[in-house]
Amino acid sequence: MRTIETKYEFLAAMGEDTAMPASVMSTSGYDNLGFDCGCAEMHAVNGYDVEQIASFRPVKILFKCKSHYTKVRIKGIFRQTCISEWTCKNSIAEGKTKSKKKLKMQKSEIQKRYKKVAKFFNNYKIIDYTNIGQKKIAQ
Amino acid sequence: MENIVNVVDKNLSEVSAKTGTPYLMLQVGMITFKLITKDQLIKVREDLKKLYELGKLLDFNPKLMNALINILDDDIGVV
Repeated sequence: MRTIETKYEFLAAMGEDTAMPASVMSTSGYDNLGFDCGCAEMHAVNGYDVEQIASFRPVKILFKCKSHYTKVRIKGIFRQTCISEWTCKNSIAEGKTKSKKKLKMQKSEIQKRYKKVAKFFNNYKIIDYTNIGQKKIAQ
Repeated sequence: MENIVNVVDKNLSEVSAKTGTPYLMLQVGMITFKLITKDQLIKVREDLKKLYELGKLLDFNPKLMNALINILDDDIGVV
């Protein structure tokens, strides 16, 4: 099973097959068929601890458990087996939410800097050096 | 004058690099966010322009001159 370490690898892996909604493929006929997950545990395709995220042709399903996303190929006509193609941590697959957090941090940082610059503009004193009365301000 | 380099130019350059927004737009943004008034911005910019002209005559520190060029740059990044 391939382990995906970066967001770009994840995007490339997702592009390998055309993704379809999870509802396209029903796993109800597979009963307790298990697959190797990235979290080092076995999960059943119909288990309560996994969620079906997407489907791919011919019979591939992307599952999500508590900590990992795993793409599984279900093989066989009379007797099915699961082959895990790749896996990645949830944080990599859900990179979007992270970048949103980053953006929020950036916003507050930008506001801080804006305030500093605005303070300069507000406290700016225009000095007329030809006017002796403004000598104190200049100093 | 120190503040022009250490506060205004430094902070605007960092925000500009992060957001890809020109300096002038950032300065106008301060009016939008009601941090300064339009009149104050115009006044300060006019005074900084005078300072820049003075700097050219008196050969001010290049750091200050560069900061002034950046702050007074009228390019808004629209072709």
